[in-house]
Amino acid sequence: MSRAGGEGIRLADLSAGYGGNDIVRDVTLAATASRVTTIVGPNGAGKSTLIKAVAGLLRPSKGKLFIGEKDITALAPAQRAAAGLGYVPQEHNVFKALSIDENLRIGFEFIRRRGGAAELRDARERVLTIFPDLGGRLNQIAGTLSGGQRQMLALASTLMPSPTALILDEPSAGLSPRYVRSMLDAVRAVNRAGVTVLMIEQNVTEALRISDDVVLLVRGQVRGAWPAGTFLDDPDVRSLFFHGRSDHDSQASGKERHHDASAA
Amino acid sequence: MTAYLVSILTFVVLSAVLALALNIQWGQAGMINFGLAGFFSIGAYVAAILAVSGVDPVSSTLAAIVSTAALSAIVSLASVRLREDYLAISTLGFAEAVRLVLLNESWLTGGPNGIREIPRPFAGVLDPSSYEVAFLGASVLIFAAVYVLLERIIRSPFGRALRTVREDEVVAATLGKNVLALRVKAFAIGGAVAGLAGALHAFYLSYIDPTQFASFVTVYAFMAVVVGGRGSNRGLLIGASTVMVLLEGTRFLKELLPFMNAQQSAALRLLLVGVALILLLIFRPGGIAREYRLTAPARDDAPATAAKT
Amino acid sequence: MQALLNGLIAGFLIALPAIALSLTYGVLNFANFSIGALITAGAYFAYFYNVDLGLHVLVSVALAGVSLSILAIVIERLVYRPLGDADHITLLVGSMGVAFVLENVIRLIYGADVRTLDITVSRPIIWNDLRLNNEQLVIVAVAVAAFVAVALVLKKTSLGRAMRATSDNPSLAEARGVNRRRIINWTWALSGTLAALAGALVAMDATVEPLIGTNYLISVFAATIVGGIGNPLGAMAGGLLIGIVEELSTLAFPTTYRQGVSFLILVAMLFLRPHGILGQAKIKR
Repeated sequence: MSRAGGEGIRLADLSAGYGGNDIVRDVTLAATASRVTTIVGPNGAGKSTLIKAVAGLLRPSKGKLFIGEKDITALAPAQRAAAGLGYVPQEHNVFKALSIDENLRIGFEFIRRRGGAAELRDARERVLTIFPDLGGRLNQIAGTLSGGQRQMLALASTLMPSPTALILDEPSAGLSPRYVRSMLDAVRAVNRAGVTVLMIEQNVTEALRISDDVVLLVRGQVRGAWPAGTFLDDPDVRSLFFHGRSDHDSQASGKERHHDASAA
Repeated sequence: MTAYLVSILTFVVLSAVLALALNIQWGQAGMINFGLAGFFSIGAYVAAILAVSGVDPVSSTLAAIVSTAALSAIVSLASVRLREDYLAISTLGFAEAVRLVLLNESWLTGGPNGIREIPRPFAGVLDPSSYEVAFLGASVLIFAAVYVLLERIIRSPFGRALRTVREDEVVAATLGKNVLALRVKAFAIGGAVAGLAGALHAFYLSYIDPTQFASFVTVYAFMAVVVGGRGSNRGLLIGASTVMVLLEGTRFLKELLPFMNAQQSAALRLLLVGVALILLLIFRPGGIAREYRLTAPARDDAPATAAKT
Repeated sequence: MQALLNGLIAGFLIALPAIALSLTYGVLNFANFSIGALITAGAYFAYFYNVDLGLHVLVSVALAGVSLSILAIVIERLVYRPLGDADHITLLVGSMGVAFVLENVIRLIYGADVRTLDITVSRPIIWNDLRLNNEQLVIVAVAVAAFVAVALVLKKTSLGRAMRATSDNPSLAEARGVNRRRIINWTWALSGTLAALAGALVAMDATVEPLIGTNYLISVFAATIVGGIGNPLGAMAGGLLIGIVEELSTLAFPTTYRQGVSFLILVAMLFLRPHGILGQAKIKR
């Protein structure tokens, strides 16, 4: 089943880190167009670093990054946004001093500079259909919202300029169980509209519920990719997750394992 | 010629003492004191008022030191928990308030006329012709004493705690350091040294008035600290000398530009000092002095990170 | 009652630079100590246009505003941008350096004599025992107009939204496409204009001399803190409050201690309510 509209995100041999030390190394993965790809892994695997590199907050020390066919490796975050990449950070992701409506407007007006009032209206309508709760409180100051509502607003703001691909940093972090479901349901709804989704998530169960593909990142390197449905069934996953190598794998631990999508 | 040299050198040493004060407050503790001139003036006036009333120079100086230390502690108390900007604002305001008092309370301070005929310390003991040199010598000794004292403080646990607070306040607090007390103490110590510098200034010139304590004093001190390398006491003499060279050097501008009146050339010289300060901040925030310390051992307590701040 | 009125007028004069200070603090994240010198520069620009070039005083005031906004951007380019991401103490010291340089450039060009603008003296309006002269009316009109303009820009324009967003969360603002450079330039331009207007109005109402700005500095800081630093619209309320309190204090203390009163208020606010009566956070280290 393919859904039209989104562009794929592709990382090629990406390495990135802080202060000259690479935390993630030689990452090659693809978030297929119009599908939901989730990166999971134990704490300290470097998931957050990876997402920040894709968002443009970190310069990679090597490697390339593509959205569709466009090489966006050298672009600043604002330029990546203009190229169609939407980024929802984990925290500090709304303007607390501004109202909900203003947050939405800002999400739109500097990325779609040439968009007129009509386009803004349409974008707002579109976004509020996915997040009706926000629609009833447009003038409320974002700082007074609950954690869950703020996450929704962050996602809503990112959707305003109609991104073709969306990256999210732990969308369920800090949310109560009720909001975790709603948030991830919203992400799936966005994907169903055609937007490619690449996200990192600690909450593996919830993430799998809405994902198509899963990538395992352990200690800064990709250890394999699976269709979401078979991920937990694979006996190697457990040992890879915790020990970084497979019990059954007699070869060097860096070897990637790929599984046939037809097994899903 | 020698008399000129002696007077220049004395000014350098006295400025260096004041710069030491700022170095403790800013260089070591990260506290911005834009009102340094005000504290300096209080030291001078307290010493002068007492000396003129017959109190001996040593006690007058001690009184100056104590009063400036106390006032420093009080002024810093309000803003010590807040961002540096607020301390900068309070100290500036304090200096303004002091200036107003100096100008208006003539019964105490002599108003715009200031205080004259401050008795020179131990003048009776020495031969008048060698007094200047003796004063210079005494100033150098005092500077050295303060220098040694401050270096010991820097290397003490107190000094280390202070630097921890400067680098990362949250970490320091978690380690159990009483951030408030540390900062107030550091500021007070700096204030004490500023008061000492003020007293020396009053005794050296024998005459003080409010115009000697305008904002340029603060700017010079900042320049000396920046040139010398913030946090490093060693560079301070170099810093103070550089400022002096700049000032004296530009004195000759007046010859080159005769069409300007005295006021304008004074303004030009101050202007150049200000520009020099800005240029230093942009291009050499770590100071000039540091570059010559090629073989300085790593035991210097100002950590490497101080150079870039 | 006259004191109250005079205080209100003085308050308007203090409010303009206070708004400027809040703007730069919010967007650029440091307290701009050159605001006093900018006020003085505004007064001298007005003098230049009015006396040296012979233009009408109101035109001179407007031109002073424009000139200073350009000057502020130039200063930003020459000083604050090269300082780049130096820690913000360096920015503070830098702004003090700028103040020092500005004051002395003015002294260099114009010397220290007291000057006045070329205005026709008019009879004051007298109403119910209250005196109000033309200059004071102009002050109120300009200040209110400036305040309304700033409020409209901040609340209704995309530039204003971008400024508030940058003030709230600079990295998120950049991620959302806000051009930081543009915002910085506009903030300085606005700030410069407000300071210049204040200076020009003071020049109109009183005299032109190198220290006018510094004479205002403490009152302006006190007003900004009362209104909540980073809250430009609160700064207007802060300004009026400080103006009135200062004026009323002259009934009890000698006039020369006006700023002393503001200093005490400032310190009291820092002790009790550092984020001001109307302001919000961002004051802790």
